[in-house]
Amino acid sequence: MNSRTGAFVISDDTTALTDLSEKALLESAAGFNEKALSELYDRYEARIYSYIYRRTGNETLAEDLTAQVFLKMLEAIRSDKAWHSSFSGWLYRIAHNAVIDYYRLRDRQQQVSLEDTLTTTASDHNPVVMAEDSLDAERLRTAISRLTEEQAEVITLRFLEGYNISEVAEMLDKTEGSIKALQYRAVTTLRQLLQHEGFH
Amino acid sequence: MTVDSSLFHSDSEDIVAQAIERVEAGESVEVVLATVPVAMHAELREILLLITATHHLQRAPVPQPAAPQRAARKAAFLQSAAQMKADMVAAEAARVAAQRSQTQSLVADWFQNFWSDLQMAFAAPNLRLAPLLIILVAVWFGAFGFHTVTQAAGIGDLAYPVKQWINHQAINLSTKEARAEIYKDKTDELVKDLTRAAARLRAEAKRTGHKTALVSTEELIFEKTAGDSLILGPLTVMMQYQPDPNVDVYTTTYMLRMPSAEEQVEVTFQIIPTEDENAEPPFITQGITLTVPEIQLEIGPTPTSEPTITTTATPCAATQPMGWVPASILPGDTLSDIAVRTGTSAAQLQRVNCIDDANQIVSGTKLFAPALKQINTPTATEQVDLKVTLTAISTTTVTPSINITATMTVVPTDTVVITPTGKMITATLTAEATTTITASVETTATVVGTPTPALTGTVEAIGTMTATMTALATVTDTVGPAAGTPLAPTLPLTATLDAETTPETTPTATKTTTKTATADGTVTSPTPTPSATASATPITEIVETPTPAPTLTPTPEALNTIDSRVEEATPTTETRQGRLPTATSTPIPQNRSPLPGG
Repeated sequence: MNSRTGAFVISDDTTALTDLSEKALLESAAGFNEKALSELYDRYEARIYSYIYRRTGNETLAEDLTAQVFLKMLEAIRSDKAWHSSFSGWLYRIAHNAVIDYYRLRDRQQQVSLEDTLTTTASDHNPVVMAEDSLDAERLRTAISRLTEEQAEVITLRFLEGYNISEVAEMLDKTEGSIKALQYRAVTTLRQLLQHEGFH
Repeated sequence: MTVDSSLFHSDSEDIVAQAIERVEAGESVEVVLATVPVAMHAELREILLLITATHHLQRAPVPQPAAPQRAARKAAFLQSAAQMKADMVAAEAARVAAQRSQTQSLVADWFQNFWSDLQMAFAAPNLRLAPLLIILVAVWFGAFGFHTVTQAAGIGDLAYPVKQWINHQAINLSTKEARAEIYKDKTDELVKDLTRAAARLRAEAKRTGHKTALVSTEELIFEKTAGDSLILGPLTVMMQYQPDPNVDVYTTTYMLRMPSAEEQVEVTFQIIPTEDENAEPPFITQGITLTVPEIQLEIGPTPTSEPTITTTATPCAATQPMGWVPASILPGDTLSDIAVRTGTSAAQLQRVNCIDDANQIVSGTKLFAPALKQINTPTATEQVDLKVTLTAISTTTVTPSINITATMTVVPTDTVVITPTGKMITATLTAEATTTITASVETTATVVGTPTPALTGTVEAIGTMTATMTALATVTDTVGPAAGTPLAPTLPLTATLDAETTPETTPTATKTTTKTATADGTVTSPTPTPSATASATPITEIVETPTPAPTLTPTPEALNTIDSRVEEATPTTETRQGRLPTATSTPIPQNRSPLPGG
C-alpha cells in the first residue's frame, strides 16, 4: 500500500493527486473533494470490478454491483460510517456484502438447491467463461458464497485476488494468525462443500 | 490424545498455510506433500488441488467493460457525489440560517415536513399532479383561502414551499411556448418576494442589531457571468457567500461546473439586505450551491428582464442604425435569407425593422439591413458578380442535394461577400492588397425535405482574380430526409471560380471585364457511390464525371454576371457545352447593400 508519512495539505485545486498518499487522498475524499473521489474511483474501480466478477462470473452484474459499491461508499461517508482502518479492506467488504446480498436475493427468489444454482448460473451468466473454465469455477463461486462472511472474504482475497496473508491481515484489520486460522477453516469447509457436490 | 489433536490442529493451520504458499510459489502438489506428515496427505492434497483450482479461476481473464460504459459509470458516481455534497452544504446553510433567524416555529417545521412528505409520496410521474389536484379539490370546495395564501406567501413564509412547487409544476406542465412567459412571470414575482423579504430582514436587523440572511432554493436560467457574479434570470448571484452575514468571511459557492448559457440551474442562495435602503434591488444575493439538473426543460429564450421597458411599452418605430441601408425584399426571401446576405441575424433585422412576425415580410418592400463595408482604393473599383449554381447528384439514390447559388461581389483590396440568392450558402471573401483575395466560406443552409448541409470552404482570388472556393458540405441536420434517399453525411464540394478582370477605374457605369469562371464540384456519398467531380464553367451545363474533369476556361466577354451550373452527375465523362449564359453587365454602385435597392 502506498502510504507515505507526512502531512499533506489538500486544497480544491490540487492537481497531482496521483502522487498523494492514500491517507491524504482518503481524508480529502471524506470531505467530498471531487478530485480525490475521482482519483479514488480510478484506483479501486478495476479492482472491485474484478473482485465481483470473480465472485459472480457475470460481467453486467459485476458492473452494476461495482457501481453500487461506490455509491455505498459515498453514503457511508455522508453518514459518517466510513472506513476506520484499512480503506481497501473496507471497500472489499462492501463489495463482498454486495455479492452476498445478490446471492441471497437470488436464492430467495429462486428457492433452488445448490446444484440447480450451479446449472442455472452456469448457463445463464457467462457461457464463454463456463466453457473455458469448466463447471468448477461456478461451483467454486457458489461454494464460496456458502462460507461464513469472514471465511469467504479471506478466500476471495487470498486466492481469487492473490493477496498474501499479511496483506489480507492488514486489509481486514486482523492478525496474521487469525487470517491463517480463518484460511484453514475456509479451505476445509470448502473442501467438504465441494466434496459433497462432487468436486474433484 | 486430545492435547495432541489440538496441537495438531494448531499446527495444521500453519502447515496448510505454508503448503498453500509453496504451491502458490510454483511448487508441485506432490513435492509439497512429501514434506508434510503422511496423516495429512489426503486432506492436504484435496485442499491444494482446490487452491490450484482457485488459481485457475484467478488467472482467467476478467472481461473489461467498454470504455464509454466505464466513463459513464464514473460520471454517474461523481454526479452522485456532487449532488450529495450540494445537498449537505445546502442543508447546513439552511440549518445555520434557520438557527440564526429562529423565525420558524415548530408548526412551520411540521408544515414543511408534511409538505415534503406529501411531495415525496407523489413523486412518481403519473402521480405528480396529485398534490395539485388536492389543492384544486380544496379550491373547488370553497377553500379558496389555501391557494390564495400559498400564492401570497413570501420567501421564508410557511406556505412558500407550496408556492414554489405550484410554480414548478406550472412551468413543468405547460407547453414549451407558454413556458417562457410563465417563467418570466415567476421570476418577476421572485424579485418582488425577495424585495419584500429584504425589507423584513432589514427591519429585523434594525430591531436586533444583528443581520440575518434568508436562504432559498430556486430553479432559474443561467444567462452569463458578470465579474464575480452569475446572472441567473432576474438575479445577480455572487459566486461566494457569507456563512455569517455579520462577518466578512466568504465561502465559495459550491458548484460542480459552470453552467452554460440558457441552462437551467437549481441554485440555493441567501439574500442579505443592502446597506443602502434604496438600492435596486435592495438586497444582495449570495450563491451557496448551484447544480445543473440533468433533465432540462425547454423554456425557450430567456425573456428580457427589464421591467422598465416592458411596462412602458412604446409603439415600435423602425429607425435606421448607423451603417444600415434600406434593402429590398426579394420574392421568396425570408428574414434569415436577408440576415445571411447582410451578415446579421434575423432577430436583429426583426428588432430594427419592428417586424412582429418574421414570416410576414412582403417581397418588393424594403427594410433596413447592414450595408457592406467598402474600403475602396481609388484605382480599383471593379465589381464582379459571379453567379454559380451547382446542382450535383452523386448517385441515382440521392436526389439533388446540393444547390449553391452565390453572387460574388469582388472588389480588389476590399472585403467582399459572396451572397447566395437562394437559401444555400454565404461566403466571406477578404480581399487584401494587390487583388489577392482569401476568404473562408462557412454556412449553414436549410433545404426543405432534405437534410441540411453545412458548407465550409475557402475562396481565394489571386492576381487576376482567380478564385478557388472549396466548400465542404457536412450534413448537420437530418430534418426530413426523403425515405430511401440517404444523403451523404459529408459532401465535399470543390468549386473553383476563376475570374480574370481588367478593371477600369471609371466611377461611372461602363466597365470592361474579362472573366473566366470554372467551378469544380466533388461529391461523395456513403452509399456505393462513385465519387464524382464536376467542372463548372460559365457555360450553362456541366456534367459530373468520376474523375476530375478538365477545367474549362471559356472567356465570356464583358460579363458581370456569370451563370455556371453543375447539373446532373452521371458516371460518364461527358462535357456538354451549352449556350453561353445570359450576360448582363450591371454597374454596381459603391456602398450598396448586397440586396438590390437602396
